Amino acid sequence: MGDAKQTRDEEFRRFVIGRWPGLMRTAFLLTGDRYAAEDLVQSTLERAYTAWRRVNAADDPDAYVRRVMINAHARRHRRRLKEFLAPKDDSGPVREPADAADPMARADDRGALLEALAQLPARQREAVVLRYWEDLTETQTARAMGCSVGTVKSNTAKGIAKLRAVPALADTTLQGGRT
Amino acid sequence: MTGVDGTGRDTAQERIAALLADTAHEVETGVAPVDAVVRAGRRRRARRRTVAAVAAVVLAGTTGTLALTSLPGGNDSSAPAKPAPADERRVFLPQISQVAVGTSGGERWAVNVQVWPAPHDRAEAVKQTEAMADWGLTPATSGDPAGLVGRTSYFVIRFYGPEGATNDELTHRMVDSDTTSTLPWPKGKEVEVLPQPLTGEDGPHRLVIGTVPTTAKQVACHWKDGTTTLADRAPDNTPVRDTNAVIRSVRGFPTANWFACASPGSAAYQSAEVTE
Repeated sequence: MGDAKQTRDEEFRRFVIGRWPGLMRTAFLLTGDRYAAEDLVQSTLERAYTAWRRVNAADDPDAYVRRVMINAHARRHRRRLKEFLAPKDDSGPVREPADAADPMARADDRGALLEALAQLPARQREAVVLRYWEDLTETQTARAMGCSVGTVKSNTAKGIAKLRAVPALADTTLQGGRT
Repeated sequence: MTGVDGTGRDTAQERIAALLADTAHEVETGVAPVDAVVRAGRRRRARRRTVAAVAAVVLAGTTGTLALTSLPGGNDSSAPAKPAPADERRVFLPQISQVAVGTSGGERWAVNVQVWPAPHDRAEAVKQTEAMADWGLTPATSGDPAGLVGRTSYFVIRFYGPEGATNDELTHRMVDSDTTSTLPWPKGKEVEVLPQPLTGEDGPHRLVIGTVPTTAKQVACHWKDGTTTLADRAPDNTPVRDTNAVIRSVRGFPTANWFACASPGSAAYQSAEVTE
């Protein structure tokens, strides 16, 4: 009995070490803040630990954990991101078109993306991140979000349309900026 | 420049994907805090077991006190109400006190108060919010965990179910909750009441839950049919027994005692007063 428990703990530890960077990156796109991302991933993995026997036995443990994380995000981070990233003053300086080779300009693009993501409703943000960063299929995304494929399509389309409408991102995405 | 490639995504979408990847890779992921995750996972699992144990206690009725004292949260409902020392603060576990348990018309009812000590900083507050979520509780704040810092949260919950119900069949309803830097502190003969249905969702308010000063020894609950039920102060360190009225101290709530009165008949609540 003790050996089985120890083995499960070891399996879980290996899982955490292996998945931590990827989960952190996804969580960062969802939350827009490194510390919030850490909180989200850690609490997700804590939940996975409590159900590890079931998670480990699942056909796709990653899908299970992803689902837990999306649920946790939906519950915890909807309000926080807007508060953290919302522009303090809409009349601020106009963003200049960025230069692909300029590291500062690339940082500007990333900032613009995070800011634009923060303006999306949580479900659209989740759909965009899962489809375009995790590169999941619509079916996999629907499973992770606990909704229908149609809802995923709709949320993704709306999210992408809003991102395209952001001038700073349009500079990046439509003027052949960077790849 | 929005041509469609072989994946069905147009150029702009591909560039958004590339920018997402660029942004994601920019974050410093650090080393996985494996030990911390495992430790917290074990605590979380223990809390879940505690939830089940608390539900069992409510149904167990008079045996409740024994079970409660064995809970990890130190939830001895009969212990004196005094704040825990700072080094023993259980910010991530509620202090649970059972105010009253009774039976009426073949149904069990009970009233619990959960008190969550004030977190000292945002990190503690974030973890407390998560712990509360495990219990199905949402603090009375704006949603930002920072709103919990320096504030005590308390939840008053009533339970009811058929006398022979299993834990899963038990129904619980939130009666009141608050997150505050100053707990209610009634003085003299002040009484704050929360009339409720005794069992079920609707119906006459046959249950009265409330706070009284810690000096109050007796509360009289008056019903609309003219009858009165007397709730007497139960001494600390006495078992929780089936009753229809009682005043008890609540752990983590030193500024007031809580009472519950159940109507002996079908009459609804009319008024309550401190009589001693």
